[in-house]
Amino acid sequence: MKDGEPRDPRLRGNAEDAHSDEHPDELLHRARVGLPLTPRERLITRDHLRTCDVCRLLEETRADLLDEAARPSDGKSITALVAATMASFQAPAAPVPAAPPSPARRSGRGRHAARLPAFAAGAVCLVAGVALAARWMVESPPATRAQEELSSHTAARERRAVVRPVPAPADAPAPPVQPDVAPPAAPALAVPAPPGAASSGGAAMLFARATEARRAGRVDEARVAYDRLWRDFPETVEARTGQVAYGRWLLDRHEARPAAAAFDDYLRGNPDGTLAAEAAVGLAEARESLGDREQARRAWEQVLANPAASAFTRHARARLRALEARAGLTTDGARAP
Amino acid sequence: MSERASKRLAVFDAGDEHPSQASRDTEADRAALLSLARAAAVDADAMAELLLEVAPAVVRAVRVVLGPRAVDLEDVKQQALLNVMRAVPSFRGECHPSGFASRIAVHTALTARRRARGERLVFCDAVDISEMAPPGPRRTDAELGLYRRHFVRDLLLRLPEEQAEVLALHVILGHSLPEIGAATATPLATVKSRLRLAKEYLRKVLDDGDDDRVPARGQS
Repeated sequence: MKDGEPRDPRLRGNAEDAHSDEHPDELLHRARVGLPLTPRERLITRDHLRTCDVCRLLEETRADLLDEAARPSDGKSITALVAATMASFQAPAAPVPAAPPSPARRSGRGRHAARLPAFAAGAVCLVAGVALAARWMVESPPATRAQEELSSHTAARERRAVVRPVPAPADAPAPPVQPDVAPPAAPALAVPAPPGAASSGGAAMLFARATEARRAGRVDEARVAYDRLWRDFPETVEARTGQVAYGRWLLDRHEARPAAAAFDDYLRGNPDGTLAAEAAVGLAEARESLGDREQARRAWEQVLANPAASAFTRHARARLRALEARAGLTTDGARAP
Repeated sequence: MSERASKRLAVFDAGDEHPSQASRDTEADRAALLSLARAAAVDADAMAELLLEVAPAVVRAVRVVLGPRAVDLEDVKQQALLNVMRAVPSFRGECHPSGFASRIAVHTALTARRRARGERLVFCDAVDISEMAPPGPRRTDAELGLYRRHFVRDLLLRLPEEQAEVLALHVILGHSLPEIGAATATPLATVKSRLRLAKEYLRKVLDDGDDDRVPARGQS
């Protein structure tokens, strides 16, 4: 008999019954992670598994699932995954550097007086900027302004449009800098797949080809494959997924403007799509990279408003705080003088 | 990425890609990992090192939920690791970093699978389908195992997400209930309740289904 167990065999029997009535989840967990069980605990566990279909199914399938997951695969290695992830690592904005230490720390009015020249310089820059902007608004005709606005709005699409007119791959000469482009896929790409077979045929192949080229760093090939995917199979899952993957890739390559266009395209067409959360985050990051603070703020607020983007909530809040802090610094600098 | 982090990656690449969990079991190692996680919020080297530590758990969780032949497996693995990296600044050390990362990976994989299911994305390829034997009494263990795996993955999709998370993390990936409570910022009683509800649902499915639909019933 073990310590702590009732000496009376009737009570001991009741205690055992009570113990066995309780679901032995803790014991099952200990068995799962390889912790030792006493013979009695093993008996309880075995009895439970013999009588409980649910736990037996889960335990047996668990082992199969873990075996299957542990099998070697031909996907990316751990190192490659981490390296690709780290490519988009953004350290938080560096804190404002402290003023050089002075022998005697000023206080009160004297300390503020030392900041006056900096504030004055900031104010002069601001006033000059406003004046230049006002002059430009007065002098430039409305048609020109509209044209410039339009061109800036569509700049990203134009960038993509540059690579859109793709010659047929059968005639296309291999790019001189990329002799390793795989030729076997080309004949299949040359024949447009029927719309009904898009998802299982050419679209999947184009998506795979674009992804492979993107991962291998074959920039032109990836762009061409994505453009074909969007042109030939615009309504497929692969085309939609490709927009986000393409946007993230561009963002990682510091091409924020076309990246924003890619994310924006996806969100316009699929506001509730599979990757809407990722696209919204990508769009916000792209806007921030472009220095467009107001649009970046709006984009982060849309991330917060998207229930599917709950994994990014903290990140979005942190970025919003950083944007507000930066805006506050600028405003203070303008008002100080 | 900095030169130091690149060297660390190279060292990792040259060695074992799946450091044994036993080496991280001591309290000292756990404390070191937690301090690494705190540093990772602001330091690229620490972030790379942390990701190398948790990436095997992330990959395993994604492969368990999606299966090894999912068409979007590579992208979801990458996305899960990105989500882990983005969530690291919010990590306060309530649980083991691997548990934290596993939870995010399971969430990412489940979300991807649910949405892709809505968009009728096919997960198993032709080889996988060919391994599925037609329903019948003469099924091999391998066929039964394959059917069970599909069944459990399908179950994870049908359950409410929080119940599916608890089931996957606890029963399949082996995290304890208190760990899951800490990782999900949920009271332990709630976690237990979610597990109980998930098992009740599974029992209902087993009781309502026929033998062909539920291979585990009465055969194991």
